[in-house]
Amino acid sequence: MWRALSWLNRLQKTANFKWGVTAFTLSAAVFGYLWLLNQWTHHTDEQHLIEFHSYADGRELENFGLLTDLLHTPDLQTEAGVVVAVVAAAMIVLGWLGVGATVVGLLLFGGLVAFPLTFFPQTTGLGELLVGVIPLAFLFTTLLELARIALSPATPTLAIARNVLNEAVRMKIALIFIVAIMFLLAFVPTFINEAQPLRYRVQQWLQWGTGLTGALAAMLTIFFGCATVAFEQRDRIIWQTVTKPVSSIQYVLGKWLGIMTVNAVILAVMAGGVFMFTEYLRLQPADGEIAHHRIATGQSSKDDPNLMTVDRRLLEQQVLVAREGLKPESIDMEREDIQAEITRLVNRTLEDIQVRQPDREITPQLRAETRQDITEQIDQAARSVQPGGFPLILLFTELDDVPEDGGELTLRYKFDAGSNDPSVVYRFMFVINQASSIEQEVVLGTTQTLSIRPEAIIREGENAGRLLVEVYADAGNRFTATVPPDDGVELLVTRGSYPLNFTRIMVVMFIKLGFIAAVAVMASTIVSFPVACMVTLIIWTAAELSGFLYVSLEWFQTRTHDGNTMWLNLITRELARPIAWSLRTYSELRPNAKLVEGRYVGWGELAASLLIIGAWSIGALLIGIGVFRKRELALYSGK
Amino acid sequence: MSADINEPTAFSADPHDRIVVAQQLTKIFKDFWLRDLARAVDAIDFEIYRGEIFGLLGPNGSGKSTTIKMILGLLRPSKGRLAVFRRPPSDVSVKKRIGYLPEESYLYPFLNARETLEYYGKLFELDYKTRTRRADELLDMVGLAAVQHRQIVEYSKGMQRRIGIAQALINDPEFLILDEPTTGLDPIGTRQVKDLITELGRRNKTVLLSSHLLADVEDVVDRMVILYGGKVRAEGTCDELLASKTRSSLAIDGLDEDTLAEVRAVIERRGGAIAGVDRPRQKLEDLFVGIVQQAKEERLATSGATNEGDTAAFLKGDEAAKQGDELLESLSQPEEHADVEAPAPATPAAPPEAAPDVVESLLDANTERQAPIDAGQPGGTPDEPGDVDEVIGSLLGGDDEQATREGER
Repeated sequence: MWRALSWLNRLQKTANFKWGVTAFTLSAAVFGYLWLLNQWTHHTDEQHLIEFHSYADGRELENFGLLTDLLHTPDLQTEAGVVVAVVAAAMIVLGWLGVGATVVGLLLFGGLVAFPLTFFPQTTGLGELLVGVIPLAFLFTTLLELARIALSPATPTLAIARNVLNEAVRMKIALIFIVAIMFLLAFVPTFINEAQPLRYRVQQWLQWGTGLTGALAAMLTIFFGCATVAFEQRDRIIWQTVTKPVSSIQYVLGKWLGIMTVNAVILAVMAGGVFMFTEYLRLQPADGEIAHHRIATGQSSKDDPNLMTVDRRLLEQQVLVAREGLKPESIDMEREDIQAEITRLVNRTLEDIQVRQPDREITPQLRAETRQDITEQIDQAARSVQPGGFPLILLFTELDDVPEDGGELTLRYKFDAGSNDPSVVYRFMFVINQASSIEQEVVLGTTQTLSIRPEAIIREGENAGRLLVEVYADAGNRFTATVPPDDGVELLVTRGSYPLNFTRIMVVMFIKLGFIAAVAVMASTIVSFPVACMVTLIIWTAAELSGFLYVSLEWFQTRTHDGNTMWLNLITRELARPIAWSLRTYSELRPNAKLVEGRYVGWGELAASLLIIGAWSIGALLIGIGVFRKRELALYSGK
Repeated sequence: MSADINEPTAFSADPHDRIVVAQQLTKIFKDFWLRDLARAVDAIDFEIYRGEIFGLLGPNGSGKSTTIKMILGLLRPSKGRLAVFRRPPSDVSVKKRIGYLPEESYLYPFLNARETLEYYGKLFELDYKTRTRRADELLDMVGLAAVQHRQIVEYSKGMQRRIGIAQALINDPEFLILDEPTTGLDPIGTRQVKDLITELGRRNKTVLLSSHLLADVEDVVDRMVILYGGKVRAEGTCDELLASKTRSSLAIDGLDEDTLAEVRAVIERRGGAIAGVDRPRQKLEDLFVGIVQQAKEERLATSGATNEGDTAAFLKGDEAAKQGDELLESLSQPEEHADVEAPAPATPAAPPEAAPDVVESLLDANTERQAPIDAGQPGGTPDEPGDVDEVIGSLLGGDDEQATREGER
């Protein structure tokens, strides 16, 4: 069977077959179009249309109205001609890409096997799964051929890259991952709970669709990236390549480029699958709707946004969007009056100490520590709100470019108080621009959201572009509530379109995979396959956790309680800190989470990540090239 | 390793167009702690000249493969000097002119034969037409045209060897390095490889042949070194190393007893003696080739590699392939000249150590290469068998006459 498929694959790549596909498609398009014209000519009157477009029992076809409208459109023939031409052109392009037979095979499989399976209760799931796999397989095959064509020029780097592409498709280690990714993408929709609100279904799909496949793509990159270089050395196949006019740079770059081409194809399949199914979900009725954007009364919420259900609104304005998180203005601790106040408080504290402990010497270190403590206290006080006391001030600026008719703003916040008892609910009052107020009940330690209409932003005067939010704590709250310093509060503002943001997020994933691929290639130039995999996994994990590591390093103890330096800890921290700082960009990108949360990834952020992660990737590749240049690829075989 | 090893300028005034120069070449393998593990090659000297077929002989572990790997840049010399085309072996540009067949076929198992040749052709940056034409010719030559779409992993060892040979020739190399080329090949494949080497020699290509199958080497090489324990034990042409100084042999068609008695009498009259008289035996290789040839004529089918392939036209430089050769020349010549510091002489320079007439005759024609004057060799009869006395007399007449005769060959 494989031989037959292989023969068919070769056949569809021959010029004769391609010309055959072209001739057949053109003939089918011309004759098909003429047949349609003929049909229309004979069924132009309403009665004929009714006869022609009705069931045997006289019932009208469901889309009869639409069809009638269409047939009475003056430009219909032209439009139909354009459609036929586009479909024919696509078929001819596919034929010349060398996937004509594959497409026909997939369509036949879908029509004869997968689709009929969906009609039987026992095999519905399997049928849906196979139906889902078919478009992904089609996309994969087509993109693979395009990648092969792109890598076809006769240069060593591209030849090696194309060889890696062939290796990925034909060797088990990569093929397993590729097939798993496609089946997983087709499988995830089958376990999404349809009873959930639509926004959660979409988020669940985005979370699992991109999360799982992204993780699998990372694993594929690690294992395949290490295998393609390490096995080649182990099996000495590399001798045949490096004894040809291939430099170390060309070899390493070729390998990396090949892995990245595989990743590009997989990511494109994943992106296509995720995006299309998300759009399909978007067309489903949300909670409170009877159809897409149509509420129970039959009115369309597209025509009147005020009719939009909560579920639809949250989906369109909080999930399938690109929103940027803005931090409120913070107190400038360097301000003169604040510094003067801090100095006053420091002096008073030290005086108190001298009164209580007359023997204690006021050293510069004690003074500095006291100043630090007081500064932190002031900072914390600025983020806190006492029960029944003064409000917490949250001032957001530079909101001029947020359109009034744009998506609503979302205030995300979190309060800590005492030990964050989960059974206790705190009450707060949010006053927007000293005009409107909203009460909220809050569970401590968990992120809450508050929707604010964009009309609330001040549009004129010296305060234009500002949004002031005052938060009052209910007198019944037990403790003072504090907003955590980093991720305690932010205002989410719509910045761009979802499709473009989705594209940028996919590019971010690609950049991250590029770094993993570079590390895998580098590691396998130095050590054997299992060790290379381990090294790459460790570096990948460290990169993913580097944000956390960087914060942890700030608290890493380097002095004993007696004030003595812990040299090992100090050296470790000082070595780890720049690495964690550099890799922090990698962990902060979080493409999957940003997609699920509808977070904006700007071009600037994309460029910065490309620069920083790109620099790391180039560094890894340079190490690999250097090792290759110095290494003796043949070993002593006497023992 | 000294700093000036492989200095390109070291051989710029080379009058003999040496392809490989090894001087005091040494390779010491070290363990993890950098202690000496083995001295695989120990201060060897040799040179390989343009257009010669050079044999690197020795038993297993004698340093043949290590030497080849140093020439290819897969290993670095520990001491001594090594230059290939007057460049360090690590120089990538040198590799454009080299074809290499390793001792085992290290090929991508997921590619088929055609894809393999396509891949290696691309590494040499051959354009599509040249690549395709050469792949076609090479697949025909190695008898894999019918199974070219099967993955290498499905190939037998011999078939893998054949595709290995094809990939080594895809760039029409000036210098071909063959490490145990006949290992795993059937006798016909072996004969084809030997014919190929002879053909390449005729086209003034340089071939380095490493083998421990001495009969294979003897048939084709012009000059050889014999290694043992990493050292050169003997060096010279086949005649220098193999020709007996004390015995002579004749191959004569259908000699009856009377004539034989007459010959014996002549020899005895001249003070010589016949050590023995044998019926000449056919070589087993010739017998085997004959049987397969006959089977082929009877159209018996085989599922493996076929042996129909003639040497690829682009390797032979035949008239039929003239167009292709011209294209090849036009593609390769400018680059080749650019890589060489001093231009190669218009006619190949004969190595100083080898007798020029012998080398010339070896390079002259394939048929002459396969016609040794040995009683045991069929077809080894003199061109014009004149008077028996005259022939025998000239053979026994002295060293000068013998040398003259050999020169005429």
